[in-house]
Amino acid sequence: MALVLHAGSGNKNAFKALIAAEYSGVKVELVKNFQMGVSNKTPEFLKMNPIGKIPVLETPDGPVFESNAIARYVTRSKADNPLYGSSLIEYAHIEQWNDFSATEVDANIGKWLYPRLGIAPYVAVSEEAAIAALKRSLGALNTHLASNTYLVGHSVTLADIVMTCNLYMGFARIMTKSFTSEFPHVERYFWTMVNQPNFKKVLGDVKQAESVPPVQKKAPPPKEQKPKEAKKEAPKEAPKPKAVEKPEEEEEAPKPKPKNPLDLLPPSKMILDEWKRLYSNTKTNFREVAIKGFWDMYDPEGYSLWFCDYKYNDENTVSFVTMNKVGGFLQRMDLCRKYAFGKMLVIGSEPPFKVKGLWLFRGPEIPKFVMDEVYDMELYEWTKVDISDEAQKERVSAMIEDLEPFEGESLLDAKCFK
Amino acid sequence: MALVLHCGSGNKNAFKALIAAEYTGVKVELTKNFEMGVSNKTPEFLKMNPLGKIPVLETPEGAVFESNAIARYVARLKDNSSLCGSSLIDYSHIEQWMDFSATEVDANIGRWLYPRLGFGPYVPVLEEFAITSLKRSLGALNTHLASNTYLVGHSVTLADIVMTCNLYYGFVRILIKSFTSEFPHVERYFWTMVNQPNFKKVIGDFKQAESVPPVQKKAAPPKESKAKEAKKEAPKEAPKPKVEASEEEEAPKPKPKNPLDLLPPSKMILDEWKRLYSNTKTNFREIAIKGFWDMYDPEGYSLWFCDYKYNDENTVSFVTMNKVGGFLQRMDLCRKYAFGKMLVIGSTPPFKVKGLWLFRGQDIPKFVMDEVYDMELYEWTKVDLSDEAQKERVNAMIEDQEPFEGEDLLDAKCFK
Repeated sequence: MALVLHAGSGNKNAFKALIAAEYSGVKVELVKNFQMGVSNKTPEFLKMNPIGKIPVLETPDGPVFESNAIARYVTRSKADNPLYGSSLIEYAHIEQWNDFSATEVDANIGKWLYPRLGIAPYVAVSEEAAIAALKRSLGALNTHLASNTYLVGHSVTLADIVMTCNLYMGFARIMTKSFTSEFPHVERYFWTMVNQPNFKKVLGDVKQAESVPPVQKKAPPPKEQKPKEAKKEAPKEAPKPKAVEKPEEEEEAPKPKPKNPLDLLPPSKMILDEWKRLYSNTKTNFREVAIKGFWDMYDPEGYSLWFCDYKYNDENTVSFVTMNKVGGFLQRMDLCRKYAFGKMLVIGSEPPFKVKGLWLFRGPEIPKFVMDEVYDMELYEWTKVDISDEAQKERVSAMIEDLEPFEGESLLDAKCFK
Repeated sequence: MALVLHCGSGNKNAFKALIAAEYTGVKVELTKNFEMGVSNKTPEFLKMNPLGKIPVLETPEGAVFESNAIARYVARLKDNSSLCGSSLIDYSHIEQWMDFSATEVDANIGRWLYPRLGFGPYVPVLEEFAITSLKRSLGALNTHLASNTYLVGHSVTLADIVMTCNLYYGFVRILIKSFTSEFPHVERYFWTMVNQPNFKKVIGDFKQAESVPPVQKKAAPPKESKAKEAKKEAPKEAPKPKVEASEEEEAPKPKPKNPLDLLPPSKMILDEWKRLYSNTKTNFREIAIKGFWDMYDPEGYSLWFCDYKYNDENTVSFVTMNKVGGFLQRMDLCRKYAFGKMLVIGSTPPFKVKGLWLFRGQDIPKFVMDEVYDMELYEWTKVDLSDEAQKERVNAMIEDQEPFEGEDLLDAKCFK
């Protein structure tokens, strides 16, 4: 009779139970078709674990969550299991290292790795504190392993299974050789453990990280509506084909058609780069110099101005997620840098925050290739600016300037695309 | 035969073992005269726990660290203790809630509270993240407690002891009523638990936090030499007495408090320089720096370089920056008479701290040397204005010029 483990495949917290099962002769099966964000949101799952996290073990007696508790259940399913030591003091030491592994090793690896994967906010000073704490923990572990083959006693125990699975995520994802070489006994221990048959069966072949993952510029949005999901998939499914065709030099051949239709527009008296330089270089008297300069330069025939309002402001409950969303939008707009200037404001001093923007585009309309390629565009309401309306014109000036308060509210952030 | 627990009194992690001991009838004693930072640094202690953290339980069979592991050991000393559950599934649920308590509740309370106590870098966006995570955890706990009196089964288990001790730390230090009222079942559970006789015996009476602790402007320095400790104590022991001036006809004009006010007037108006410094955004060299030397009065003011004496200590950037920030705060008492720039230098630890100060008068004011204990942590050198290199160094420091003496600046702080 098999126990059922709810988790995605490849989850290191699930590995703990699976490896313990191998040693104990207990049968544990992973559920089929587990989908993160879907399977763990169902009422049935939340009844098993109200916080909605994985893994969860389903047993005839009822469900268990928390990966170390699950591993303990699997281990204790077998009476007098050597994984739990042969005396009370050995049991206590196994638990000591289980908890050390969870609160000192795993937590600090997570504090370093998760911000770099975009799962938590990235703050340089906090990363430094996490690395310092991790080094202290691994230093203590290294000291212990200098005179011990296993964490407790003279054979593999549950403590070794839990510790190795926690180290696995660090070794595989972020701890490079130059980092771990400071802890040679930990290295020896880890590679010995992952090559044990019962570990290899579950983990497969393990390779050490060759570099530290770069910092993401975007945190994943906390909620994802289906239409947005479909839209987001589109650009990856149909990447813009790169023109590999090299124009052949041929006498009297016609000039090749330019890629971008905006280049076909009649020349404008406004030089976008000049405006961008004026915007960047003006430090004092911004109104009199930069704003006035903008309206002097502006060509309503060659360019158009647009306001945009985010459609789902009630989602913006966490400031760093909101700011990261806007940051990601601007990054994806890079493809039209030659043809656009933008300001995005995050408004309000408490959640939910509002996101509003001002954009200047070449041509009388929002360029078609931008609407097609940048999926964020349809998350905003777009309104063309009527510059004959003095109030709208003033709003443009206020947004260029990051004027505070903006429409009666403080600004949390202002980002410029230039 | 008593077990010995190495820990200071009042530590919530020690409470776990002590309360479990009350339930099992095991005798556990706290070590006498435990001193944090001293007792946990001895070779004997580090042999028991190489990480040097508390608590550690000493038993006839050997030492155990990690507070939850210690509590488990104490609970299992008594055979068939109800604290450990009567079946495999109950045991697993106890472990489930103990781990939940450690990784979801305790960790998130710590992420919120410790930066505010100065034990980690304070970053508003991270605090917000911690509070969000904590609310999610307490929400899940509240859901569970809506239909359960205890975490597991129908009596107190080890899970309840560990959870209550972890919540205790939050309730007394940072979780105020307006925060916890969102989780009414957690509130009911917590107050019921801490009033159980065996809990009350160990924890005693306490009150819920009435406000969230303010953010410290200084992180606790990682190392404290004895001399610095003594110096730091001094200002509190001898607070400046407030002189009460009474109005009296024909009484002589009261002596001014500050001897710097007795100096001959200077042509330099310090506030004018501070305004010029603050308002100059472009052409800083041509406007602000030139303006400084036009204004500067070498008879009424003096310029000083300072170098931190213990740069090898500056291994963590936020601690170093907080140290400098604290220094500038304590200099507030001479704001009318001084202007300063402090630079944190280097792109890798250890960072160097160097500064430039402008003081009224020919010497560093005596009341500053007496009152601000940071002063003696720095080497002070008067600037020789006839030396062109020193004069240029003044310019570079006012301007936050990079690189500074061949190195990057990590931070530049201004006192004005």
